[in-house]
Amino acid sequence: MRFNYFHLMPYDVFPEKTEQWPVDNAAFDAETARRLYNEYMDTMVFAEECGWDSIGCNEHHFSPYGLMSNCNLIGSALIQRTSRVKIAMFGNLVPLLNPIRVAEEYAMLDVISGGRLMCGFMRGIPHEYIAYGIAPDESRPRLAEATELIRKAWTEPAPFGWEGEFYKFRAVSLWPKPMQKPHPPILYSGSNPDSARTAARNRMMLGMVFIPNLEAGRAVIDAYLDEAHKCGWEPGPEHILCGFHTCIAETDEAAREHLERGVKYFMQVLMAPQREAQQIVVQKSRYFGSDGAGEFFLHRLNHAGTRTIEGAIEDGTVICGSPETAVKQIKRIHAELGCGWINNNMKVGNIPNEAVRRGMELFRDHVHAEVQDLSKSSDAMPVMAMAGA
Amino acid sequence: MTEIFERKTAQLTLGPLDYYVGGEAGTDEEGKPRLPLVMLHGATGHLETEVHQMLAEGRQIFMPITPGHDGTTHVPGVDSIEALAALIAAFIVAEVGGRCDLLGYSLGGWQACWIAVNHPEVVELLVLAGCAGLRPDGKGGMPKDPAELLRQLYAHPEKLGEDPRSVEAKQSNVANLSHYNLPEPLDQPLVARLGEIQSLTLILHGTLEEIIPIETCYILSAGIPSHYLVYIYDAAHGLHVDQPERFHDVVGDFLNRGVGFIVNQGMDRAAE
Repeated sequence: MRFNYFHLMPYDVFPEKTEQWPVDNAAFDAETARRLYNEYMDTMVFAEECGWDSIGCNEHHFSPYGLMSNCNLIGSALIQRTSRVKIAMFGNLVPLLNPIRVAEEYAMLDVISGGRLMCGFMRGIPHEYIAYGIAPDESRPRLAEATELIRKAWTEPAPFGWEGEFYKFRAVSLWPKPMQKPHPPILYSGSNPDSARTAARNRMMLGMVFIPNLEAGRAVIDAYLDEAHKCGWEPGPEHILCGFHTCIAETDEAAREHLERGVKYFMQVLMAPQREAQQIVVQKSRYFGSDGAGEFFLHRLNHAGTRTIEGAIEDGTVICGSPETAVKQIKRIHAELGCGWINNNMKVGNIPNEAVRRGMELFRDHVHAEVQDLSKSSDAMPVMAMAGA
Repeated sequence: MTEIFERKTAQLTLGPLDYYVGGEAGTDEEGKPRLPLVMLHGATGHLETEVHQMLAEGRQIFMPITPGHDGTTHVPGVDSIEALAALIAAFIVAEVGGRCDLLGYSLGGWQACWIAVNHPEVVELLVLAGCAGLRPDGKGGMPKDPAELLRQLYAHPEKLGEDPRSVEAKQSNVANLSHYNLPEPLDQPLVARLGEIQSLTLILHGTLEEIIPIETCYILSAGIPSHYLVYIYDAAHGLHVDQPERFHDVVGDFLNRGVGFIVNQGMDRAAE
């Protein structure tokens, strides 16, 4: 079993709940943000020492929810301060960006890190499309075309041009190209069966977060595995990453207390503005297909804050407790989902940074050794063959 | 579709050659007359599409029919790909004005390569779309099953509309290729001489192409001294049918501006 230390980099002193999106930035304080950036990066570097296999972050816009409008900048800084861990950019919101720029920045990170990059090709969450002025209806076809274009940019042996639906480039020739061949592992976000099938068709890793329960997660993974089989390949555990809020403390009670407070702040303060924006996008566009994914997304959005920590623990959708409890929960996740990667988000809302670091120490000293050998088949990093992709 | 192309017969020294001609000669940005465009069809024969009409706006287009295709007769002595190229070069001299831009699709691309190699004086700009004749290790190729062939020809067959050619006519055209003793799948003599092509060349390949392998593009790119390779997204072998607007945008730009086609002129300039 491998572990990704994920950081959302929240502005965790945002004072009060607002439902207006984009969030008014009058309360933004640059000195506070500077302190947070440095604390968060220190924490992520510490994850290497604590045994995590990769460290990563993602891209968000216009909100204290996450301070990374370009996660590649953070990735570049992390590369300089680490030597072993993979750098997991999970990831760039590809449909919102110039795909050639994405290809270039990811290639730079891969080369600078000596081939340690894992890269996410994310569609993003609905409200991000307002931020960058891109039609939500175009999110899937943009992602599909950009994915193919980026792969070409990484793998073509000579300059080429591209005449597409959304992107036209008459002469492309990347300097640098990635160090990993044919290219770094790519992860697609797939928290519903439709997206999971897309990941399978593209021979990519599946990344899944915020699952309502393990059964629902298993259904998504089954859709991924079935589709991959139809496409002539068989993903292993190393191709499946599942994300969980993670809080480890000396006792179950202390962990629950921290996580409950952090989730409450996360859901009621940090998530509140984009919840409304996301509802508008989902209701006023065809961001989701006609397979009920939109209704599922809204249901999850509107009910996420109503769930108790005890309920989430029972459902297996968080890792929360003493080291002994965390080990049991990870083993359960592995047994029921068969994933080879777990994505740990430990800075949930405003959980104090000291508590986060203490949880990381406990993971290092009492958890990691107990669970790292769960997926023996995940020794090799996933190599995404181009053939048939 | 509006009928803008007229079928004629050229009486060449070697023999008669049927062709279609249409469009009106236009001028470039500097007011100079545009060169005519000669378009060479694929193995299944002449097929007029939306792209032909779009390219004919402001440009005269000549489309010779491979002798033996579409009910035409063979020309004595023209029984190889190089002889076919020589026949088309003679046609360009006799009927087109001696120099043209040349676009070859599939089999036509193969002929166009030989024309550019052996008769460089008749070719200004060269466009090779899904170029045949350069398939290393036997990769790709036309499937024999008609349904599978249709699938590999068009990712969006609905855009083809009603194909005026019968299945039998297309099969007869494909069978006619045996007359030319084509050195399939890899024309080694041509590979050895690609470096002699003097024309600025645009190589087009559909991202869903299966009949022509990607390696063909790499052979052409490695061999032709001055070229651009452009992928047409979401297009199979019949890339001008699958994506007529994209095909026209890139080819029209290339023919109008040559090497300048790599510069995005913006919406306002493009509309001029």
